[in-house]
Amino acid sequence: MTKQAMYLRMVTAALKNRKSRVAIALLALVLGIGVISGLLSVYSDITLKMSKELRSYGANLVLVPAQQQEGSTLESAKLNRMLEQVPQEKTIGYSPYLYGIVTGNKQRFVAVGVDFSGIQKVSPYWSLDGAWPSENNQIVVGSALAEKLELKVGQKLNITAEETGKTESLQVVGMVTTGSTEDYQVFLELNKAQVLLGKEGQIHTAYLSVMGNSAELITLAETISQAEPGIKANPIQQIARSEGVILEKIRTLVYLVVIVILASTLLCVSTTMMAMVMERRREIGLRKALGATNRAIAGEFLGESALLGITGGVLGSLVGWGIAQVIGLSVFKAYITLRPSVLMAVIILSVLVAWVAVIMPVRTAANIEPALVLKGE
Amino acid sequence: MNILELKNVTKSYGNVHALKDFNLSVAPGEWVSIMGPSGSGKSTMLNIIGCMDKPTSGSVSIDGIEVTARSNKELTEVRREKIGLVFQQFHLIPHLTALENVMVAQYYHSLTDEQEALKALERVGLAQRAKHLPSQLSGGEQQRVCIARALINYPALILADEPTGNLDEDNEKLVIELFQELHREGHTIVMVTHDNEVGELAQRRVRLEHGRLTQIA
Repeated sequence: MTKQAMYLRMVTAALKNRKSRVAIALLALVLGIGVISGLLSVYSDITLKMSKELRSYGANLVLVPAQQQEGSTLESAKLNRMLEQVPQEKTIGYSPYLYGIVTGNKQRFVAVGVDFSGIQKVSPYWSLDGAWPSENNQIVVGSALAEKLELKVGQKLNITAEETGKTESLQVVGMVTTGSTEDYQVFLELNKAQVLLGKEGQIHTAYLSVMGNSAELITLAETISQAEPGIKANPIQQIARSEGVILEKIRTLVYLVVIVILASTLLCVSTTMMAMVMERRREIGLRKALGATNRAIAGEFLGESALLGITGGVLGSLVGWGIAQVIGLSVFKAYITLRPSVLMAVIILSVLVAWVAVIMPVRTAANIEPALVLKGE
Repeated sequence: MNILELKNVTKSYGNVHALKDFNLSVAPGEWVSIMGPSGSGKSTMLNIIGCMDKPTSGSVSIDGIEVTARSNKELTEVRREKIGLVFQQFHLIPHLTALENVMVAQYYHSLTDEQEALKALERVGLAQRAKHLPSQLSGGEQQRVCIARALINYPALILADEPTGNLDEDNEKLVIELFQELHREGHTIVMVTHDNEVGELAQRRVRLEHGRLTQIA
């Protein structure tokens, strides 16, 4: 047996001899490193996924009449011309909006004419109970309004426009919940709404969802506003800006969580290693009596903790990968990519944690007197 | 040149003198037993000879090396190179086999040599028990492993602390015979013992009382 082999034998035998202590330290490492590895895996995927996710928060450009007056409208034709200004490949979706006061079931409420296929893209966060309308006499009712009107999916609703006095009998096919004003409105096809409200060829506003960062959006808005003097395009800044803010907040949160987990893992491993040193005081004294220097003793404990760190790191990465998938599937509805760089980083981190954790125990070991082994003191 | 030379060694803890003007010379190949009641200063002396403690005053030299004013690191080196320790409680590492326990001393000294360690076990009659853990060995066998470990680096001095204190009669006999053999082979032995019969076997007996040498026989 070479000296190196003897070193390895001593290190592994020492760990094997204290299975319960080692199991506690290992568990602390596996859990700590597992969570950190999971978070880092998610975080390294997050920029891409968050970007997609935030884009799915919908519209980031709103089009309104340049001369904002009560009830001023845009011409649908102008809107269509304007849309030609936006590159096709960058358009995710758009929907026009036409508002009007109507009555139905003896209640007053707002009816909104929209493009249902477009609204699914600009407002993907809408939670729909039922189906989207497929025919132009079908409507979607806000959930709060539906409750007020005692409406259920499949029922008919007669609505009368206040301005024109026209009445339409429409079928409820879906109920929408957004947590906002939409919950108190009725949505119908734009053409139907235009006729009902007596505003043929007109809309109040339109929402667009286009790809691009904050600066690109501002440029696009300017281009549109200049090309169509009657229309003013406003970027919905908070979405674009919040993308960065949210990522920044998540980054801070991830760092904070990683630090807290590292600290608690460190404490747990260090306490366990300290207990191991105290239990092995005699053995350490003996090794010193046999001629071991403090450096040699430290070397053995570093070896033991490195072995612990590597095992904890590898097992922790596996646990972390599982955690990442759970987060990925539940939050982003997608698998998180397994990155070798994250894997390597957490294994190295695990060894470093184990090494830092052993500093105090090694100091204690250095103070153990070899004379301890004499006379059974 | 004496293997061990203690001159006017005093060890004080405040006003208490654990050792007072203690003088002792041990020639090469000599077997000296140190006897005395509890609290007589035996442990203090053993620690000083074993380079695990430093005297308050006086000088200690081992195999020609003056160790009195050495640092802890240097004392460790002297202990490693010059002294073979035999303990009352054997102090084998529980998770290593008999052979590995002998090799631990080689490991800290220089290089490990399995064959040589096996020969050392053979020397104490335990070659067939080389792969056993201490828990699988009797007290006598453990003490013999401890002796094999003490011998493995060819020390100038074997320092034994009550080596038969934890053994039954049969095992005590075996271990004593081993020490007698070592003595015949020319090893220098300093042995601390309570047991008069064991002490009598040494060439020279030193009696300690209240930190002072009271009798040399």
